[in-house]
Amino acid sequence: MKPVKLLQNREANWAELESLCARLRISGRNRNPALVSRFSSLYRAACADLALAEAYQLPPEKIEYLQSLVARAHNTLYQNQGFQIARWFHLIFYVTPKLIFSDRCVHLALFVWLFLSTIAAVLAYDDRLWPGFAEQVLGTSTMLQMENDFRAYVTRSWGQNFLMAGFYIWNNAGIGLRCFATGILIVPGFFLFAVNAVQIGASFGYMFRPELGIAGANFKDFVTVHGPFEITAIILSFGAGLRLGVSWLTTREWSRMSALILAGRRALPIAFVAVLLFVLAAMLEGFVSPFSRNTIPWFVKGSISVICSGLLMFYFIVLGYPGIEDDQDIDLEID
Amino acid sequence: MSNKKTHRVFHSTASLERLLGTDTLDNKAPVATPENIAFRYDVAGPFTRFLAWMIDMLLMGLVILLASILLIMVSSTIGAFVGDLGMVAVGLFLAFLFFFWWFYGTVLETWWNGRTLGKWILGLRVLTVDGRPINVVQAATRNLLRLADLFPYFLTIVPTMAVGLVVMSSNRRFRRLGDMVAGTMVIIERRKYHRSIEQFQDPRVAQLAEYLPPSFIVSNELVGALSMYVQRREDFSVERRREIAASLAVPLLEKFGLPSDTSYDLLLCALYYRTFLLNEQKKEIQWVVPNQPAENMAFYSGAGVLR
Repeated sequence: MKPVKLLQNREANWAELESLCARLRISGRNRNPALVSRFSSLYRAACADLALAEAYQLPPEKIEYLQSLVARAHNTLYQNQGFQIARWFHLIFYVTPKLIFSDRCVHLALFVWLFLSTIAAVLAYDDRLWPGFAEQVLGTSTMLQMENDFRAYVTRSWGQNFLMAGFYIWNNAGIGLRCFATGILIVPGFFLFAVNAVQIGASFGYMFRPELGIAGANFKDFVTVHGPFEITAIILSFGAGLRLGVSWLTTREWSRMSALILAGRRALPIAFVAVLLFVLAAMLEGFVSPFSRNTIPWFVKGSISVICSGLLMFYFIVLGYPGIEDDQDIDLEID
Repeated sequence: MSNKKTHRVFHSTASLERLLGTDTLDNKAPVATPENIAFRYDVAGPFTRFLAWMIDMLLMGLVILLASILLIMVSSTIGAFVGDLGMVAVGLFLAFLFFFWWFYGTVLETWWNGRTLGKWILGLRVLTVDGRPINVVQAATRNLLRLADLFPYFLTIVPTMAVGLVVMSSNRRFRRLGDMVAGTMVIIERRKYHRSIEQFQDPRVAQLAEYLPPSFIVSNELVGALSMYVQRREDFSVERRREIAASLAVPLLEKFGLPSDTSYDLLLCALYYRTFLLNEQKKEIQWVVPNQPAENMAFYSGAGVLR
């Protein structure tokens, strides 16, 4: 018998596979096992049909039809497994701290942040070194507003706290993700990161000027609680982005493409942890920071800050030691 | 080399392309499955993908608009009685906005096996370069890095997409920067309808087929040309058929030693008939029968299998 005749006998099978493709796709994750096993047999048969059709030089449009059928069945059969909590736990608490611990790009981001913000803080604090530095960086109106806000330190209502927590998530975590994503192009990510470092440094320098008095003390009260998480998060974000940007410049023994893929596997978990830290920081900034020292005494805020820093230390050093070497591929074990 | 596994994974597609040909002209991406079959995907081009993204953006805009309207209604009604509840609603809206804006693509592509709504409408799907389903990390990587692909921004808000377009045009599978890092590609999952083999009413086709030398072996290219011709010949006038068939039929007639006034159209039909329809196949073909019990055939049970 000619292959064509045989293939014509198989058309019923293909039609069945077509309809099963549609049905299995719709029915989602609770699938009927009998249908699935029938589907797999039909799929394998269609694979064999395709191989034969190619080997026996059947008309190209037949082969093309079988190609598309097999491709769609393949995508129906092989689906990803969705989210799995155990794997995420493993990723966040086992893999990522080790990645962060040994990531030179994160270290570099930390030093860049400390360097820029310290210089900006010094220049903004002492107006004689660079006259008008704080005004140039922050703008006069912002400076005035900050001073007024913190001099009065009006306690917010609980609704306002909710609103501001939402705003901090939207704004801060958004900036972090922008730093990460544009870090692959290095320059734009660095620019955004540096602007934030300088602005925050300048704010600190300006607010702690002796002539601001109580406003400076209130400012310290406000930033103490959420500072550790938020600053760590922005550094991690840019560090992860920089890891991508550096990877296609210095590829080591890999091809440029492989280096990018390897760096992506290392960078994404770091960026993800940064988002979590941003969310935690936003909660603290929304619901703890705004209370004046009359409601939440200074030592409570200070203790929270120390605990947060301690947790971060534990995460980076105890969970992170001894790190994962740069040239080592990591298995994310997430499917 | 320190890590053989990675090395192998990264280079499997390259060797596959060497094996199957790259199909650059047709934008095909070859893939080998665990069933030991190789097939080709149609790679989606920048324009289709841009359209899919626009549909997604429209949808996101619509959802955000609806959420804002809901927010205004909530904060103006409940908020009128308890002002703080209105502000709680605004805070929740902003948090929702963050997750929706940044993780719409990640979540949809993870849950929906590489599809967002725009991709579903246009029949696109994201797969890894070796044709497997993408995981959460890959979906997140390619969706977050879209920001870099849209770079640089004109007047800081209008994306020019220059980075993405340059990267896409520099590789065969139109992968943008995010796809490079995630190791993914976007394919078109097109449903094709199969046509049955052409049957000929004209008895002369079968008669002429008998005269064709049995030793003549039809090459792959010739098979392609023949079936393309036979499927489309109905659309042409008799003169046009003759004109098109001539370039192939004249040398063939000479080769077969047939009279040169034989109809060119008839000759090609006869050759097609002999190749596909004439009952002369000696070899018995072994076919996989799909009706065996499932247990015997479940030889692949790795990760990523449908449950």
